[in-house]
Amino acid sequence: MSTQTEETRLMRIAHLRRREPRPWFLYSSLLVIMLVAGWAWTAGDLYTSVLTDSQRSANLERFIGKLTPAPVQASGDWSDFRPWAMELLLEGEALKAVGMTLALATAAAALSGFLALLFIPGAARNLATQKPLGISCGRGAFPAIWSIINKLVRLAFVFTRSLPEYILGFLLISILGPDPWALVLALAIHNFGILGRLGSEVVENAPRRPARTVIAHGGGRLGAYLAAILPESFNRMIVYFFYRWETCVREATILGMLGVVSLGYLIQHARAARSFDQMVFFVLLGALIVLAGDLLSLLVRRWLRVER
Amino acid sequence: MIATTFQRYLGSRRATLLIISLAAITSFWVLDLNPLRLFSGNLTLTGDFLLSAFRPALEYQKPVEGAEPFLLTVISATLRTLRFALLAMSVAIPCGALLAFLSSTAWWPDIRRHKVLGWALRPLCIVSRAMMAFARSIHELIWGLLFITAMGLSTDAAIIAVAIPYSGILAKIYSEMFEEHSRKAQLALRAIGAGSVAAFLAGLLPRALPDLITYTFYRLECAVRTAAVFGFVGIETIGYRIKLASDEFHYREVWTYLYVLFALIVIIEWWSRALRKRMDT
Repeated sequence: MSTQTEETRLMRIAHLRRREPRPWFLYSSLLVIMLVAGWAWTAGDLYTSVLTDSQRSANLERFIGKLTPAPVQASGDWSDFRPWAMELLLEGEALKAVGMTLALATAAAALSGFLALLFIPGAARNLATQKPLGISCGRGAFPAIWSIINKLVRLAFVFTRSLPEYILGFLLISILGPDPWALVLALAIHNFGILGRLGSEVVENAPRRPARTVIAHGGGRLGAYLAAILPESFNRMIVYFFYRWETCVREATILGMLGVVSLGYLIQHARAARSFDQMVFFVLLGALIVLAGDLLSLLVRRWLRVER
Repeated sequence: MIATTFQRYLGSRRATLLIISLAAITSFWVLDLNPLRLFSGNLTLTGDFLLSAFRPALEYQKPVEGAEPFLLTVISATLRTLRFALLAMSVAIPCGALLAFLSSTAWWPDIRRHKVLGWALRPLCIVSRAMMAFARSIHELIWGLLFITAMGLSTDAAIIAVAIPYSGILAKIYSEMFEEHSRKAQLALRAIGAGSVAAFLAGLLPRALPDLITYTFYRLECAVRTAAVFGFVGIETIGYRIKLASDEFHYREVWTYLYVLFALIVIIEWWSRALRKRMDT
């Protein structure tokens, strides 16, 4: 008796096993990734170096030899470090560069945030349709217009997101000349796409009821967005804004390499002058700013979370 | 402080918006950003650049005798970009996962009961978090510059330069995801006697895996962009070609490369979304 139930149970398990859905797409994706990664590793060097190994190690030796600050190297005494660092900070352009870096990031984040807010309702699938949030909102002359708007705005978001800041900065500087506008626009265009995408996801996931109430009482899509959805999901939007601001600070440190005074510019300069001690000093200064930005953004996010 | 004063009199939403607007206005003023200046530059060049968007090049704008056909150059630059991104990611993912594991407390045994183990684990966690923050805070291009100045350009140097900050970022997000997900299954496993690491691997990791994979795909997308940017330091990816074409004002060629980059990003995003849809059920 008990052996028979045991048998039927095993059969049932086998049956369930057979019926279990096989995630073929996941398996084949894994296989493709392995194959492509294998190809990437075995297909040879991406860059054929002209340097020999001995030149390379000579390079490295020279670099490391010049890493300690010049006055410390001369006197062998680390007490000379402080005046050297203070001089670099205060008398050179370092402080100005730090300020410029932060200003670039803030201006770009604010610009992209503002523009993204304008376009987000067009990208949200629940607003830019014939029936916003499932409520009929008048027929309109040309009902298909909403899905066209929706597709276009989404396309604009993906396209601007796919352009790297540095390349945009390079192209814009070649057009506009060495103007801070070029870097601000470069950062803003890329982040417009990212903030737009994140923001439209926030709108799609926002609680439906307040927005539906606005529309049911005769409001339009814009009314629902401004009066119901934005206030409701304000904190989440701000969290994303600060997350992007943080990355803007990180990117802004390098955009200076393209020729507008910010930290990247100083790093590039020190490198060209072969003062590697100064180069590393500015790199670490940049790291410090990025960490400070991270911390500030963390504090703001925590503050907003407590608020809720 | 200032923030709380603002908050008291304006309410926190208005206060936040006001502070952001003030910061933005100050930044615009510091950078001397006058909107009129955008229209005072070389307008024919701007027009040429924008109009070229509608007719990307399919062959060289100024063909040179005996040169490789344009589309072949595009394909090889694209493949190099993709390869560079994959190489960097395949170093960054294991390093990031390891760092994330070390800097997360989710797999720790109860350290109130195992005091000695606690003494060993806590510094490990702090050190790996510090490494994570440091690796992340220096931009990949600056890592690249440092490596190139130290040793000269090579494929390995460029890959490591990207892998260092990427593993830091991956580790940060991975460990945040470990902390975020519900611990119920993990605690249940612990309660029936599983070891702490086993409970983490079987109870928490599978829950977090879809998020981890989605984020890793997003990072791959970033790696493709970074690979393109590394063209500017000499690796012959899409960025290198964009620089060459732009230096000769061949903007139609530039747009071809930008569209290719766009296509790569779209494909990665589609793949990531398709995977996500199947993992969520």
